[in-house]
Formats: sequence, structure tokens, C-alpha cells
Amino acid sequence: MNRSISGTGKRVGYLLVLLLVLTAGPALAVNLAAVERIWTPPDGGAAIRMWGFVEDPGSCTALPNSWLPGPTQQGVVNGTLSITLRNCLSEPVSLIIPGLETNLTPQTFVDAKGRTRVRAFTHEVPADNGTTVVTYSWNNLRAGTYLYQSGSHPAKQVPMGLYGALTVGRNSAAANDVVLLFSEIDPALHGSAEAANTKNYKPKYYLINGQSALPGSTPPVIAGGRNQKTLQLRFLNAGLMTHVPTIQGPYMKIIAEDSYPYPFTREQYSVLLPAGKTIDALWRPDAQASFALYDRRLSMTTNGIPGGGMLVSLNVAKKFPWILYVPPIIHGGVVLP
Amino acid sequence: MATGYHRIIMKIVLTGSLFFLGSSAVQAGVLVQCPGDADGSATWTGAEVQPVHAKCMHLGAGDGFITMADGKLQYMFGFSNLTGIPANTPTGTAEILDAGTLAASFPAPLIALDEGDEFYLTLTNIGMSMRPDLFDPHTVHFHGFPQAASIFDGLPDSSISINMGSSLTYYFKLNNPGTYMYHCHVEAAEHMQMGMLGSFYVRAAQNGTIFNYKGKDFSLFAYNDGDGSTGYDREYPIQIGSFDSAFHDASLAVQPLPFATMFDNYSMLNGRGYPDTVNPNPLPPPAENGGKLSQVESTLITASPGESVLLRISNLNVTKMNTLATLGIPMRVIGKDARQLRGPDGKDLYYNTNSITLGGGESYDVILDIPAGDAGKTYFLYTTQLHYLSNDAEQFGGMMTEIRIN
Amino acid sequence: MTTRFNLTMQLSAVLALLFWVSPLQAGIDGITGTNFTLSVKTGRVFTPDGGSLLLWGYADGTGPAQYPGPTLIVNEGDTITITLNNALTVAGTASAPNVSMLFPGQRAETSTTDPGVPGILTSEAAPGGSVTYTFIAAHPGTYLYYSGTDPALQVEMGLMGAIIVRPSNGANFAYNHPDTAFDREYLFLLSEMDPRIHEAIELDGPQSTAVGPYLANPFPVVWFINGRNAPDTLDIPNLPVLPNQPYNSAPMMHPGERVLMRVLGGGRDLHPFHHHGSHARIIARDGRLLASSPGAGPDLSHEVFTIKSVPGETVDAIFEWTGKGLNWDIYGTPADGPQFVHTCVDGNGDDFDDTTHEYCPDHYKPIPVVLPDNLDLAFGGFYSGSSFMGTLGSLPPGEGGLNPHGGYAYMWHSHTEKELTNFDIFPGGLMTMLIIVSQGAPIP
Repeated sequence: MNRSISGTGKRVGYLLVLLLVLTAGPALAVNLAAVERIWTPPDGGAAIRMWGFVEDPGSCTALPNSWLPGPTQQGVVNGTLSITLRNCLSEPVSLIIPGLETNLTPQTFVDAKGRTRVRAFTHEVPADNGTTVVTYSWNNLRAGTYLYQSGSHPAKQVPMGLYGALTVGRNSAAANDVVLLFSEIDPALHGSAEAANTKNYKPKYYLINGQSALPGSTPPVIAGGRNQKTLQLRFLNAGLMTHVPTIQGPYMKIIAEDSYPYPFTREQYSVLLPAGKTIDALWRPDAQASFALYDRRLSMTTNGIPGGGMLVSLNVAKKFPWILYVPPIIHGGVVLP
Repeated sequence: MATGYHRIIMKIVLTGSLFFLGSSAVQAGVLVQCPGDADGSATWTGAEVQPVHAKCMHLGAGDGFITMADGKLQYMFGFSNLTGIPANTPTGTAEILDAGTLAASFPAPLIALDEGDEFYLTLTNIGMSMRPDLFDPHTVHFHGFPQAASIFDGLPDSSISINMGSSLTYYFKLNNPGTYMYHCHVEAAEHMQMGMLGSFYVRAAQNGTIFNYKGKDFSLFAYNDGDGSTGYDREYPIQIGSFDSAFHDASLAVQPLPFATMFDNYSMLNGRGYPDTVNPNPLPPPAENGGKLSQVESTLITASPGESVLLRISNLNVTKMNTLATLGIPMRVIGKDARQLRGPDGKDLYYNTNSITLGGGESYDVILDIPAGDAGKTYFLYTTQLHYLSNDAEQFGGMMTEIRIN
Repeated sequence: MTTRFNLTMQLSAVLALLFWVSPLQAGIDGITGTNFTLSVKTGRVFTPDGGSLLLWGYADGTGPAQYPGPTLIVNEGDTITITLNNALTVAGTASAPNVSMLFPGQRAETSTTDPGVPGILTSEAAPGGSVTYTFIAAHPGTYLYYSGTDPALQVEMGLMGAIIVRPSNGANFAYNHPDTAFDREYLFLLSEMDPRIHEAIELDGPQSTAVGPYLANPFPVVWFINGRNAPDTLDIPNLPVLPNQPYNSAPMMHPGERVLMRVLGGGRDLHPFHHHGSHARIIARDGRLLASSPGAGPDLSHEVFTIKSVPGETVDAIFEWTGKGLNWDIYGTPADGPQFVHTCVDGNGDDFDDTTHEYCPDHYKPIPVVLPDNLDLAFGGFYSGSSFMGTLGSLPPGEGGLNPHGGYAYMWHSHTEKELTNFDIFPGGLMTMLIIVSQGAPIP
């Protein structure tokens, strides 16, 4: 996820967010493309065909090859968001952001028994090799953490990889924030997903921010803000299984679910994160150290090898108490110390 | 802690006599107990007088067939509604057994009552027509009933269950509003997978009084909130369930039941997979049960702009937890397990969310506040366990319905 | 009402004397102190079908491996020191793995004098070696510990257990607030196992190649409370035939008492833990009171009839039962027989009898329906033969018998009913029975 954002909202700094909260929201316009890519497992397993959202290269040629979750978008509180989507896939795609209200225009078909069924939650971009682009827009963004994902044949297209994170604002108590996007890959559904019975979904790779820890190795490092500075942890589950992110260190204060603030916060060392859920938590590290964060559902395997999977290291940088706070440069929601 | 008492229990358990100690299936006839009701119809007709607060219902327990959304015919065990048929008459037993045969419905008949009611629930064990080798007793477990007495808890291990051809009347004084559920508790893993599951809710005594909440007057409330904050205009019971068709097929074929490998391949709301969930009518009856309607509950949710819609969501899935989400409108969660979400000193713990996660035996009350300008919109209620958006292998189905704003 | 023969409370008391040879003190089994020495060893988890699974378990010192590990019962504020020895042996040619302990909710540190070897999540004990952890039990509550070494494998193999930190308020409080007082407490440590994993490890040791797909997508077929499957949950603790599963789960209470349920997700799956009988009030999660501010007490608590147990999380809940509001007298009426003559004395005006906790507004109200004849009924082993609390009724030969005090019995179980099986056999699994006996009937 350590990738830059795109569009006019690029590098929206903390100060700017603060200034714009009270005014009519600025527009964040983003251009994305849905493309086929490859994800290479860390255990040396065979490369897996994925679908993903990428910054729109302008056409369906010269696409990047390596899959990651879609680039993290950073919206502004009360602002607008528009995403223009190009489709380089073999079937129609669309884009929804659960929790952000907008006009849904469901796409339907009539089955053999004459029953009308929804095949897409909203309007789609046709599969025409990238010729057509379609814009999706949202107004009055609420502060919080959202998944954006395909709204077309979601049982297939979401696990194929068509998802990413949207963050809007940052909690006023937090100095930094970090995206922790949980997802899974079942290679069996990625060969010819068309014929698969999704009921048999059995993921082999468990990812945080597109990375599966390699068993026996140092876990992937995610910058975890600064010592003694409150960090907003943004948990998102784009997978289909429930996960239980657990932090080894101080308790978290759980503040919001699906970007709706709780009436009262609660303190826990872990978070119930079912499929499609986002949770925001405040966490104040008390040491300049690495804190492990893992899935207590024990999806801590990589292709069945224990010791990997959903496991990252939150690296907390040292506190700088003697200088004025300077907003960090934000890359894809990850704060670099 | 150590008890010789439990040691004694163990000895009996280990000799295999704990559950359903052998009982003879003597048929002593059908008997409905309903105060003021002379003919055993569980209703009051003619000269019969309904006592204040009395409510009666007559359920049959047996087997039947339903049709899955991909067209598969599915054998099941279930309950049927026999209310209205005079049972305590010379021909009553025959009529009841006839009406209840192969009459199982999915979900089980909805039970919706009012706080303060005295509920007389008669259960008649019809027997399983397709399984004449079985002599299973049945019960009704009123799941979540507070301060329960074990005699009426429907737990066969700690009380009584009713044999084939006979009736047992349960009594419940309904002191607490909320969303409950009911199911047979006999050989629970089997009878519940087989479909003996239904919705049961109790409306609040506060109904009928007017409270203004956030500028709107309400006269219907999920709970006795005292401030209208659980007020609603329409209510929909929604029960999550799922079937493992291999288990059902094995039952019909009198084969060993695959408990260990139980793996549900049909995910449903109120006994149907999408798109049958949005069919407002009863599904056509299967010929195999003699043409009896067995799937009458629609899950199509309709509302008008500005209305508040109460979803009474319960889960009786026996293999998995489920996550049910709205798309297009948030859920305001105001109750859990038939209790208002309010702390002991009055702090409201209501919260908004996109989804709730509930295992079997959990319920949530959520309110959808439909914005005034949303006429013509369609929202969705669906599982974010997206692989369950299928009817077995058939895609674009499963645990999903539509919320249409007219 | 069918004719029935009712034994009296006096006879129940006689039965009690017969059955309870040596009442033990109420509470949760475990080991207490500030310094613990645990060892990881192999053992066997026995299932009610007579089979067994290979266990990697924490042992108390030189004792046998336990599933779950020893419940560590400590006091708030104490500095706890735990030395972990790795005495694990494995099949195959590879060496035994390192082992370790994580203490979610505690800030554990590794001793400088016994640092073990570095691991990914914590310091570990190498085969034959040791590691020592220390933490200050700063907050009262219910906690877990489990292996931090390849947890997907080692927790599955059995390396988990419970920690109870008693508050300075006293042993009959869950937390430092009067609203957390309880009369009895019980542990419900929920877990599951996928036998394929245990069989593969038993055959080939940790280098088993068969185990991978199972670890990626476990499919458990046995489920546990406190390390036992029903009906073994109901047996006595420290049973010789279950040498590695010392803890039982056999809750009992009197009407009007407050029972603290400590519910822990020890495995990797969620379990909806449904407690028949009545609601329970969830007062804490992960060892923290549901309080709006420090000292407010559990003012954010709420009642449920099913506790959603999340792996790695803990829930504390208060369960109470009196039979209030049933609209009939659960102790019977004189019309049911002379032995049912009783009083309801509400001296303090709380609507309940001051001694028996009978709900006085329902006193002597008759049961509103007639029960079917015994010939029409099937009976449970925990059925007393009577609708009434504290009463034994006549039952056909061989029926009932598990409820000698005529108590009310309630199943407390996973409402994922599939989990009420042991290896394909119903009933069993994640299940126990709460038995509520009338005041006067002894509870050990």
C-alpha cells in the first residue's frame, strides 16, 4: 500500500484537511482503471491472476504487472469524491463505497425462470477494452475509513482483488493514521473464476495491505507513527472471512465502525473485523519499538505454512517533543516516520 | 468444581442414557389447551370468549418440502400452523394429522405477539411422513425467553418433549418486548439443520402512545424507550438461515447424517435465496408435499420516504456466523437479543453501522431511517460474506434482498 | 395435572448427603501465586468417543500437559513471573519447535537473566531451554495466554490458557466496582480442534507436509469448553481418565444469586455461546469494564441471551435467575399437594422472598396448563419429573435421574449447533448444563 495517491486530492496535508473541514468541501477527482495483474506469493508459489484497481494509465496498454490493493484515496471531510473508471477486464465492472450514500442504479438481468436479478449494485463500465470511462461520485464525505470495491458480481470480482481503501479526514485526537487492509486470496478461484462455485471459497493467502508475511522471516513493516503520539488505526476487511486484528502493546480505543462514531468508546486489545467491515481505533504507543499486529483468527499462514500470513510489524518512531508538529508526508495512508 | 453429583451424572451419561431416554410412542391424541376456546381451534369463534391477554397458537411438527432458489427440491423437517382447525372434537385428531402431514414450512410460522400477552402454544407432533422409521419427539424452544422455567424451555434434556400423535401446550407470560426466535431443540444439530426454525417477536407495551423523536411522531416502538428513540413505521422479521442440501438429501434417503462434514450450500433469508427473497408472494407449492404452501414469507422490504423501518434480524444458522449489511442506507442498531441497547443508568448505546455480525441464536433490532428524498431508490440487504451470494453453485443469489422505496 | 409422586426437599437433602461426599470450595480451578513454572509437553486430549488427539500443552511444573493450560489466578498489582520450559518432543527427524507465551492485555517483558531466544512475536524457549516472562497484573479481569510461536499451529495443538486477575476489592468482585460483585463464578474457555492437524503432527512432526492445507483452512470437528467435550464437561475435575484435561464445566446456582461468567475465545473460531435460562449482562471485554469513565462502573453494560465469543477476546457477564414473572408459582401450590405448602415472605419490599428468592407476586398462582400424560412424553435425563423447583416427580423406570435435587436445568452451549457433536456424533461438543437448585439445596 506504500503508494502515492492520485488526482487533485494528491498530498492533501493534515493542515489543509483542518482548514477545509468547515468550508464547502473540495473535490477529489480520481482516475482508476480495473485491470488484470499478477500477484506473486512470497513463498515462491505460482503467480496468481488477479484483478485490481490501479491509477488509470490512460489506456489498456502498458499496464503495471504486479497486483496490490487499489491505491488508497484520501478524501476531505464534507468534500466530494469522483472516481472515473476505465475497464480493461473481460466483463463489466463498477465501483461502490459501502457507507457513502449515493444514487445506486442497479443493473439487472432476467433469469431462465423469468425472475429479475441484480448483477451489479450500480451502473457499470462496459468491457470494451478501455474505450468507455464512467464516473462515480459522492458528496458530503463523512470522516472515516471506507472500502471501495467492485459492485458487479461481487462474489467473484471482490475476491479477485477489486478493492481499495478510502480515508476521509483524521480523528482530531490522532497525530498520524495508518491503513490496515485485510484480505485473502483463494488461488482456486483465480484460474477460471467464471466456473467456480464461490461457496467453496478456501483462501490460501492472508494479506494485510496486500502483503502476506513470509513464515520465519521478519514480518512486513508498517510505519506506526511516533512514540507517545496517538495513531489512528484504520482497519478494513476486504476479504470474505472474519478476522480479529490483535495488537501486542497498549490497548486501543475503538472509536468508530463503518465510519460511524460509537456513542461511547471502549478499550480492547483486539477488534472484531467481519467481512466488509471498517473499524477506526486510536492507539497511543508507549515506546519507540516494533509492535506486532496479527489476526487472532490465526490466519497466520502463507499457503498453509504457519508463522506468516496476517502479521505485520508496526514500527513506532521516536517522539520529537522539542519541535512543532509538522504534518508528515503521507504515502497511501502510511505515515513515514 | 468437583461434585460427586456430576460424577453420578457421568456414569449415566457414559452408559448412553442421557438423551431421549426411550419412550414408547403411544398415541393419546391431539389436545389444544386454550382458555375460552371450547373446540380446540386455538381461536375464539361463536360463543367462545377470549380472556383478556390470552393468545393461542397451534403448531404442528413434521416434515415437508421446499424449493430452493436454483430449483432444487429440498426435503426438510419443520413446523406448520394448525391454528383455526378444531382439534378437541371427535374428528379433530384426524383433521389435525391430515392438515399437518407434509405441511412443514420454512421458515416456521411467524409468531408476533404483544407484551403482556399470556401465550398458550400447543405443539402437536405430526410425525415425519417421509421417514416412517423415525419416532422423534419434538419441542418448541422459545429462544431468549427471560427467566425461563425449564418445563417450558423446550430443551429435551432438562424437560419433556412430545411424542408422535400427541400435543403439549406451553405457557409463556410475555413480560419483555423484543426480537426472539424459536426452534425445535430435540437433537438440535439435526432438527435445526433440517429446518425447524422460526421468528418470534414481542411488541412493546408502549405501542399506542405517541412520542416525538427527532421531529417525528411515532406510535410503534421496538422497546419501552420512554422517548420514542426506538419508534418505527414498519417492521420486518428477517431470519438468517442456511441449509446443507447433502444433509437433507441424506435424511430423505435414510442415510447416515453427515454431522462432521456439515457445510451449508444454500444461504437464505426467511427461507429463501435471492431472487426468491424479493418475490412478494408465497412461492409455488411443491407437488411433493401435496401442493401445500411451504414458503410464504417474503423478504422484500418496501417503505416510503421519511419512514423508519424496523428490521428484526435473527440468525438460526447452525454452521456459521453471518454478516448482514445494508448498502445505500445505514443501520441504526437499537436492540440486541431482545434488549434495548441502553445501559443500566439510561445511557443509549445505539450505534450506526453498515453491517451486523450474528451467530446462531443472536438477534439484532436495527432501524433504517429512510431519507425524505429517496423515493424510487433501491437499497440492498446482503451478506458481505460475498461467497454466500449464491444458491449452491448458481451465482447472483443467496443471502440478499432488496429494500425498495416507493 | 397428571398424578405424580413428589419427593420432598427433605429427601433431596438426603440424596445430597449421598452424592456430595466432600464438598469443595466454590470458584474456578487453577493455580495461584506470583511465580509460576510452566512446561510445554505432549499429552492426549481424550474425546467422549474414546479416541484421543495429540496435545501440545502447558503443564504446571512437573505435572502433565494440560488442555487448556493451567488457569493462572493472580491478584491485582502483583508482579507475576512465569518461567516456561520447553520439554516438547515430536515425531520425525526435525527438532522440536520453540515455544512461547503471549499475554494479551498485559505488558509482558522477558527476563534479562533468562531471555530465551528471539522469536517473531516474543522471546521463545528453545527445545530443552527456557524463557522467563514478567508482567505486572495491573488491571483486574479475565485474560488469555497462548503461544506466540507459529500460533496457527501451536494454539491449535493446545497451547492456550486463562489468566484471572482478582481486583483489590476482593475475591467476590470481578472488578473494582460494587456492581461487579458475584456469588459464584465459572470459566468458559471455548475452543475447537481439527483432528487432521493433530494426526499429521503426530505422524510426521512439525515438518509434516500434510498439515499445510489444514492450517490454511481448518475444519474442526470437535469443540470444547475448558478443554473438554460434552458430556465430559459435566464430570468432576481432575479425573484420572482425562489426565490432560483437568478442568470441568458444571455451573450451579441458587435463585437470586449472581453468577459471573468468564467467557474466553481460546481457539480460532467465533462461537455464539447461548445460555438458556435468562439474559446475562456483559460488563467487560478484554479485561476492561464497559464504563463511560473511570470509576463509573459498568454503565455501558447491556444484556444478551447469546454471548458472541471472539477468538482471543474475553467477556465477563453477570447471569441472574429467579423465575420472576412466569405468572405461576414454580414452587407449586397447595392444590398440587400438601408438600407444596410454603410461604413467600417479602420483608424488604423487593418482591422476592427474603430467603428463597421466590417472586412473591406469583405466589400460589397455579401452572396454567395441564401437562400430557407420561405416555405421550419423552424425558430428558436432567428432568426431575416435576414442573416445580426442588421437587422430584415420578418417572418411568430408567428415566431422568441426573437431577437429584429437582433443580431446573439449562443448556449452555454453542448455538452453532453443528458444534454440539464429537466426531460426527450428536450430542456432545461445546455444551454444558447449568443447574439451578432451590435455596437449601447445597452447591459444592
